[in-house]
Amino acid sequence: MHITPHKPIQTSHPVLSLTTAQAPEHAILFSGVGDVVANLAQKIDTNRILELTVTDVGGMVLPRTAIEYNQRGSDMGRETLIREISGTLVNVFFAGWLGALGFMLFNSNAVHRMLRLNPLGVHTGAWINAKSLQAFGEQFEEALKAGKTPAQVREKWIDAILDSIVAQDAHVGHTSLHNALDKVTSAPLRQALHASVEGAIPQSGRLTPKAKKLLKHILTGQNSPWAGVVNVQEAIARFASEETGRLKATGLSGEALSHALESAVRSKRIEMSSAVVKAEAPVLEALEKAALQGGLSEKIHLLAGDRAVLSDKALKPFFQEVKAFLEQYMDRVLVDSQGKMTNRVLHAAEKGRMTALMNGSSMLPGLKKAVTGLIPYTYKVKRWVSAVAVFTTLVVGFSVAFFNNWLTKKKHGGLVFSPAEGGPPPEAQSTAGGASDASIINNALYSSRLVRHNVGFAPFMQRRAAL
Amino acid sequence: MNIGNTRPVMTKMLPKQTQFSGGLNQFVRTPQAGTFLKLFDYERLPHSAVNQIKLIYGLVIISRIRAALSRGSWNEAREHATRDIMGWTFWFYAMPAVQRMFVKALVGMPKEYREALLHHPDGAKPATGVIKKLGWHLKSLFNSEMPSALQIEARCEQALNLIDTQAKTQRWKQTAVDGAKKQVNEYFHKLKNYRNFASFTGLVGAIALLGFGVVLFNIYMTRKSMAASQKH
Repeated sequence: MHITPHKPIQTSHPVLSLTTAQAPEHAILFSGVGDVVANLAQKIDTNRILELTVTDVGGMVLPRTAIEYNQRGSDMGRETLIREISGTLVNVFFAGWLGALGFMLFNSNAVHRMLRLNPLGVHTGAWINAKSLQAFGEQFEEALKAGKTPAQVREKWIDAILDSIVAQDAHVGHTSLHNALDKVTSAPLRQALHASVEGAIPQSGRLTPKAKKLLKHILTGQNSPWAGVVNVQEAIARFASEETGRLKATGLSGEALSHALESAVRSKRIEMSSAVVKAEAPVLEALEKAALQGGLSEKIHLLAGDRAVLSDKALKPFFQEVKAFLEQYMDRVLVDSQGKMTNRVLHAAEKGRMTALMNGSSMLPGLKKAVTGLIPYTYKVKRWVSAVAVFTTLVVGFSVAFFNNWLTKKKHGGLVFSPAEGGPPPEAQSTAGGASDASIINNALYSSRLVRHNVGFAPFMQRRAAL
Repeated sequence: MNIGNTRPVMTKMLPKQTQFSGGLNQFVRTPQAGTFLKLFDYERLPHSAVNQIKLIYGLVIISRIRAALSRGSWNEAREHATRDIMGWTFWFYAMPAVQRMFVKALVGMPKEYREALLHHPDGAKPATGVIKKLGWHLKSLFNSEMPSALQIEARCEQALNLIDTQAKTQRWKQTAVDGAKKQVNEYFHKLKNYRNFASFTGLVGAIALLGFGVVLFNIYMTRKSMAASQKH
């Protein structure tokens, strides 16, 4: 029994298969059942949403419904089932699904042709969290001040990001490494290993210089996996020049030409961007592997000075965000009209144009209002979509309890009562099915606490004792 | 560790920029994401953000209490309040604390595992002062650094890589290298199991408390209250 690595490393570590054969005898935590429990717990623990679902369905919906049905009858059972299932769906999933749907519509070319929602062609399928976007944008500002050429600005930005990543578990991780190496029985090997820890996995939790170099190579280099991914900017520039010729040939000019061209380029941009997102897996994998070998672990912070601007980010999604920012924002701002990252020295006016394209804003309400900056426009879209999603979810969530009230009332011919306090009043039960005068009067008396249904204290496990 | 802006919000005070402005005003400050987005933006689609869930669940609790009151049942309202407020707190705050408590309190866990699972942000426990000590313990339940099972796996791989590098550069005996790998692997396996058992305890605790305990308690309380009101 050995630790199942999250990447298959058996090929490079043939020795691991030896250790699988011999389970140590002394520890209870090594037993078969223990491993099953531990692995199950790990699956639940590493996925926040799964954790909520398991706790909610397995721990709340099922036992609560069963108990309520047994103890207080079918009305309470039904109400509990509806309440708890809606609790899982609405509380945990609904806002996420609505958000995904919203951004899907926002990125859709068909919807754009009808509503013109996305004039800048921001592709939100390459997801960047708002806090990350702000942190990256601030780093871009610094890089633009420091760098002379576009390529240099890009490089400085990458340097700054790689310099400020720290492992979230720097202290405990380092402790566990040393404690594990203490277990090595061969004394000279143990000492040599202890001595080599700091060089390979710094206690500060930062990346080693070697790993930084490798990561930088992946993010910029010609021979890196990145090179296999489509260069969106070049493809767009080429497409734009071809499309201009084609549209001119059809006889368009002036306003109509620029309008048609803008629309075509936007569609192409969204299309290419989604293609890139689909092809990014090898780049992300290479980045993650390099980072893990360079001293990071599965969760990281991003520091600015000694404070964390981003905290507890998962490693791979973080690199996905870095990659999305480079492709969707920075490269788009830095490239020339041919879509190429040049080594030409930038003038102040050019830098101003780049800043405006990234940050410039006119924060008018409404999605269709013109915004020049990519970042403020993304914020605007995010605000709209997430606000609508959360608000809709709230409305749905709010209505569930009232729906339950209505359903119980309907089932009992307009009789208002709470099944938590027992069944409907017995005098009214005979008239259930049609709201008679008696039931209406009874109703009023019941809810004004004057008449009590005959429910006494009953032992717990006595099935439906109260009814 | 402090989380938040590292720079003051200056954007609004700067003059409005045009697309072709140059010279002194060329740098527009990066626009701030704003409180709403910082709190409620999605971390990863199509999953709801945890803060969204907190808000939605919190307001749904209020709607449940309101609906119970609308049909005149104080007992039901009290049931919702007890069960759901407890559920909300447990989901979002108590479960990590229970996991840490498990690691702190598990009898027989050797020091070498305990110290690799929990690290207090302030370091060692203060020597004097009951209140100081209590504060230290509370902080360790909620704020201490605790690796996830995935992080432990990553560390294991790093340790194995270290041994590989040593084996390549220093020409150690193959038996020593194999033994070292086996011993390191065993340590991390056990560490990960302790970590996962902590998670499991949190989960079982949550289900026992929220799925069974509170529900039965509510039924008991309502019956008691009904019985008491009948005597009058």
